[in-house]
Amino acid sequence: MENDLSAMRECATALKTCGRNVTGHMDDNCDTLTVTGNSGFVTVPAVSTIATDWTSQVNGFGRRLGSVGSVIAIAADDLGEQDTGNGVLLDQVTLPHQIV
Amino acid sequence: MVSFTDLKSALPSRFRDAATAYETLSGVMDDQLDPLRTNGGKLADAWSGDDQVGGTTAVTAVRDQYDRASIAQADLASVATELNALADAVELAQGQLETALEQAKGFAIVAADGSSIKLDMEALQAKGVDPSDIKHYMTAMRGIADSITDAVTAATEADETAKARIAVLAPTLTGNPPAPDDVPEPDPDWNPEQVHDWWQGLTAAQRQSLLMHRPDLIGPLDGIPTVYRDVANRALLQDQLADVEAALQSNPDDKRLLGIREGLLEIQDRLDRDSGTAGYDDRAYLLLIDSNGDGQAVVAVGNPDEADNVVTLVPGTGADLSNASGDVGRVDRMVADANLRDPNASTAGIMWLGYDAPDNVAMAALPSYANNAEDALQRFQWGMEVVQGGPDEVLNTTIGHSYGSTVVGHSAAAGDGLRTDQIVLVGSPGTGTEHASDLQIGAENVYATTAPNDLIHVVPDAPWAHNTAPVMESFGAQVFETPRHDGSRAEAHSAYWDDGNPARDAFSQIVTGNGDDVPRTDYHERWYQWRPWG
Repeated sequence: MENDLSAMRECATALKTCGRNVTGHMDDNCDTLTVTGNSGFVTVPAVSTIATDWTSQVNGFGRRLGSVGSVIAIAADDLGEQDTGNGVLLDQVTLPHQIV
Repeated sequence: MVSFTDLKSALPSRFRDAATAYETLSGVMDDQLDPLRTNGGKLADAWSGDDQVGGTTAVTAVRDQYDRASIAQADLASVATELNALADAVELAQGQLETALEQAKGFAIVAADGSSIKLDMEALQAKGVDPSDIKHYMTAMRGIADSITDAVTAATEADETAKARIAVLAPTLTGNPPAPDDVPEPDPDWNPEQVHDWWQGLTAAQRQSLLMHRPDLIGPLDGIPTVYRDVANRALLQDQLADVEAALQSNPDDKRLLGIREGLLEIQDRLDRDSGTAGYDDRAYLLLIDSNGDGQAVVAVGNPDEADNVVTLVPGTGADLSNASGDVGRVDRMVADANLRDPNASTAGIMWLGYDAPDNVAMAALPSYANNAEDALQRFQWGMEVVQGGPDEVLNTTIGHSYGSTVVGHSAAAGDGLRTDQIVLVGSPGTGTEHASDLQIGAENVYATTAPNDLIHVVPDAPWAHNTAPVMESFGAQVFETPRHDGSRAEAHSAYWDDGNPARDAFSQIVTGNGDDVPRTDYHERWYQWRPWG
């Protein structure tokens, strides 16, 4: 069976769009994830802590989707000619802990 | 610990603002799920040959991101829930504090930091209070002091609860969860309250492990919050679709499999439908999916853990997975009607097909299907009550249609009954009981309606035929009218949720807590007795 290059490019574009949606939202809204005022409430610092984690990880998630999309697009281009070992490349960029 | 001055100056709206931010972020993550899932599938088909290794890696990566995003949107929604709950509690405590301070005016002085309270002797003297009456003011002052203490304590407890629960909701978009074998599992004998306590005690990574590796355990488990059951059941739906597709490869004409596939795809369509533009919460949540036999499904429209009102529809004869989306559509309509009727309160709905319904009218004469469903419906409603925060948090209405009303009746009459505030019996052949009070929620909370030409009137009022029909005067329910339907008797039986049917107005009034306003009909005879085939 031939590789369906147009389907691969379509997926790549969709993944990059998903990634941009997420990072775009975080660029505009990450400051809203904390609670201001309300001194004496222990929930306030707890929310600050998770807000930092969520901001970092959601941004990483968005970037990761973009990276996976990019690699799939590159693979689609290269597969038009030959096998370029994109499996290895994908391994390098898609493992969750490597991009945060 | 929250102090008197902390509570006095607290700004609960700030907690709500943050809740909205987490809710919105949850929605953004949720919006990516559909494209991630569909593109993961396309990618699997697109990549083959020598480069399959790349395809497999890419597909695995996309699916992994899908799983993580799916859990993240549930976690983010849970953070919002906890912040809103804290805001509610702080508002309540602040109100109590302000009332106490208002009551103290004119006879007692509360220190600025709330550390002490004493009688305002000058004010009492100016009022000309007799010294012998001072003891009354002392008693009142002690009551105010208690009220202030209670308010501060309530705010402190709510704050500590929120902190503990939010701390668990750390993101798991990176890192590897523990192996499922290393996560403690619930005891099969636990009730929904015990299940809920167990879930609340798990770490984010432990929850992630179970959601990713044991959706079969979490999906059907009553007592787990809706957002997490939804994550697990959506994964199960994908697995079951793949299994059915594979089975159809060898049996392409298998009617049962074709029906199951159709049902699964229709539910998937409803889950994928864009939400957020209806003006109320219309996101769908999958609370149960089972493709065995005739199949079962439980689908919520709107989050029933968060709503002010929840209506649960139990469908009857002929209901199975292949046609479940039709009953989800009825719930969609009831939810829209109720939110339109009372936009100041939120209403969610549930289509509960968590039992094996009779396939045809002949089988519907048997009570065994209802008996078999008792435990499942009781347990489901119990689980709902737990995740809603207790029996007084939500107005729960359970509507049984046709044989579904028999199921509701059996569940309500058995043992400790059904955890619901109201019951509506629609086109009911009987509940297995003689009187509405047997349903254990008070006859004044049991409603019934049947159209004059509904086919169900052919069922006699006899102990061997599900006992007294709920529209009979002797049953003692609150009977309201559904007008005669223009179509056939069979069509009349299924027309209660059609556009323009006045029964829908009554449903929305009852569901939003305005059942007293539904006009009662004074005719409680079985119409078949005088016009059997009208």
